[in-house]
Amino acid sequence: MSIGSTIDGSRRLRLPLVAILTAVLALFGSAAIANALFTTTATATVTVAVPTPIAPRPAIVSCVNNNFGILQVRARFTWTAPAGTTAELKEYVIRAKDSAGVVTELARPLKTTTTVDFQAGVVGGLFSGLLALIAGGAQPLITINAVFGAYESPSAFTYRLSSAGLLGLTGVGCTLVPA
Amino acid sequence: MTRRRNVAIRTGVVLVWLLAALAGAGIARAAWADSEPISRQRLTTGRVGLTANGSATAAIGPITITPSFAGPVTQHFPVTIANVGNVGLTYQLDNITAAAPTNALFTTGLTVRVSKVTGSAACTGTNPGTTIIAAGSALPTATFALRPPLPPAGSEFLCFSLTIPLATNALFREGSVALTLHFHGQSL
Repeated sequence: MSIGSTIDGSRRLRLPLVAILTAVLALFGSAAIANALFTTTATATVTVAVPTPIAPRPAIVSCVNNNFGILQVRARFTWTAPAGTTAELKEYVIRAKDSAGVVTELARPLKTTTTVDFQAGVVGGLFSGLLALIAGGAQPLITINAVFGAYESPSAFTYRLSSAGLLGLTGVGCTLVPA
Repeated sequence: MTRRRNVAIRTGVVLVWLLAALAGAGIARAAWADSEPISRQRLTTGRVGLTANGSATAAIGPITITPSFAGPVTQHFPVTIANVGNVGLTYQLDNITAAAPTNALFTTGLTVRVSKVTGSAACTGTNPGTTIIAAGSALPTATFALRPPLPPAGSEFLCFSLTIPLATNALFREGSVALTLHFHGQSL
C-alpha cells in the first residue's frame, strides 16, 4: 500500500510537470531558442562649441585731410565693404572715443555708404562739434565698423583725429592707431 | 446460513477493496497525453558587444564650429560602430541627448545629418556618403532604425554632420553642449 501510494504520488507530481513542459515547448518550441535576442548598448559623447561669430571689418579704411579752406574744414573717411559678405551686412557704425574714454555713437551709415566727411565751417556738418573739440586740442579716436545682425568686428580700424596746425588753415590730421 | 453470510461478507469486502483500489488507480491514470517529437537542440554560448569608436562609452571631440556671416557651417565627425561580440548583431541609434541643462543650441541651434561612409577619412566634404538621417534634422528627434546586420568583428562607418545656421539667422546660437549618441544593438 505504501509502495503504491509512492508511485501514485510520483505520477501525480510528474504529470503536471510534463504537461507544463509540453505546453511551453509547444508554445515556443525550437524557434524560441533560435530567436532569443540579446541586447547591448554603446554611447558616444561629443562636446560641441559654437563661439561668438567674428564679424569682418570694413576693408581699406582711410582718413585724409580734405580741407577746402577756412570755411570747409573736413576729414574724409573712406572704406570698402567687407569682401563677400555684403548680403548679410546690415549697416556701418561710427563712434568717437574721447580722452576720458567716453564712447559716443556718431552715426550709422547705410550699408551702401563708403564715405563720410567730418566737416565744420559755415556749412557745418554732422561732426562739427567734434571738430570744435579738435580745435581745442582734443584728439578723439574714431572707429568705423561694419554691423552684421547683432555683431560687429572686434578689431575695427581706429584713427586719431587731431588739429593739423591751425585748424581751418591746414585741416585735420588723421593717424591710424595700431591695433 | 451463517456460512453463506460469511461468504457474502467476504465477497463484499473483496469487492469494496477492489473498487477502492481500482478507483484510486483509475483517477491517478485518468490523464490526457500527447507527444510531439522535437529535434535535438544544441545550446551554445554567445556574446554580444557593440562599440563606438572602439569603446562602449566613447568620448569624441571637442568640436568647434566657427560661425560665418557668409552661410551655414557644417562640421563632421566620424563614428565607427563595431560588433565586438561573437554573434551577428544589428543596431540602431536610439536618440541623441544633451547634458542638462538643455539649451537652445541643442534644441534648435544645431541640425544633424548622418550618413554611411566607406571609412572615417571619407567623413568630409559636402554631404558625404549615403544618407541615413537627412540633413537639417533636429537633434532631439534624430534617430535611425535597425541597420543591416554586422557579422562578428564587422563594423560600419558613420559620419555625423552638425550644421549651424548663418550667424545672422534667428536660429543661430552661441555656446556649447555635450551631446550623447545612444546606440542600441541586438543579436540576430
